[in-house]
Amino acid sequence: MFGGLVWAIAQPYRLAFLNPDGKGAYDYLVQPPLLVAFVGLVFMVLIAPGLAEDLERDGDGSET
Amino acid sequence: MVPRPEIAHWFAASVVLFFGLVLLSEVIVGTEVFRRRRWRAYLAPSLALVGGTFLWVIVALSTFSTMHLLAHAVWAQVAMIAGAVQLAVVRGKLTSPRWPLVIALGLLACGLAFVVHEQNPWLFSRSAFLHHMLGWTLVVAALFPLAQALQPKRVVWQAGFALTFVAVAVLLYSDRDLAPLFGHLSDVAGGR
Repeated sequence: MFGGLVWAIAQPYRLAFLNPDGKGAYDYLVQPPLLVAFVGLVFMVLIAPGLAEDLERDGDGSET
Repeated sequence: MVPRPEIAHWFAASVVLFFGLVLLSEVIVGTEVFRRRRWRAYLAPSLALVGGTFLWVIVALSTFSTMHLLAHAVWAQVAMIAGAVQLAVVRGKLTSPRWPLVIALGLLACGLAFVVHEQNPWLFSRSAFLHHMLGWTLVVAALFPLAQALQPKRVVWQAGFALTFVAVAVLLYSDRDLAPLFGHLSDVAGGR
């Protein structure tokens, strides 16, 4: 997500809603900075919490 | 409305990036913890299978050149074979530690398909450069699963394999249908 944010700041002209002249639907929705942030969000919501939980449980198990 | 090729490539880059992140997270937490929830173990192979299916759809509906069609067909087939093999490994149906050799051959085939189907030289345009770069990245990355088959316990090969997909995603995100490379664009590249 952070990568997508940095990219959006570095190349703001790639975000169609900041530069809307002659842009279509795909240009609004499918731009690399937005996609990178979206992938990060999906990973953060679907994968990371379960992994952190299992890792924590694994740590507790090895201590006892 | 049919999306432009660069938009399709950015979609593909997103899937590849997610795939790379899943593999990387497995490296970080360790395979034992990662596979504690069964659905997580099946996630990466399933993504490969679904990605292969989508690539076949692109091949079936394509209007681009025969070379491009063949290259996309190779990537589709390799993704499906790799996904199927990995599913069988995770399920325990395939137990030999040498199965990563199939992935190594797959990466090699994918890389060669990139290099062979790009008929312009490296500095012709950004797209040509990225095709060559992607091809050689995959050819070199084939060494990771090869080494994994020979030394299954070394995490560094697994990490290299995962980072390969992050690198491929970055290269795919850099793609444009027509764009200069370091300020250089061939006069015959079109669009002028």
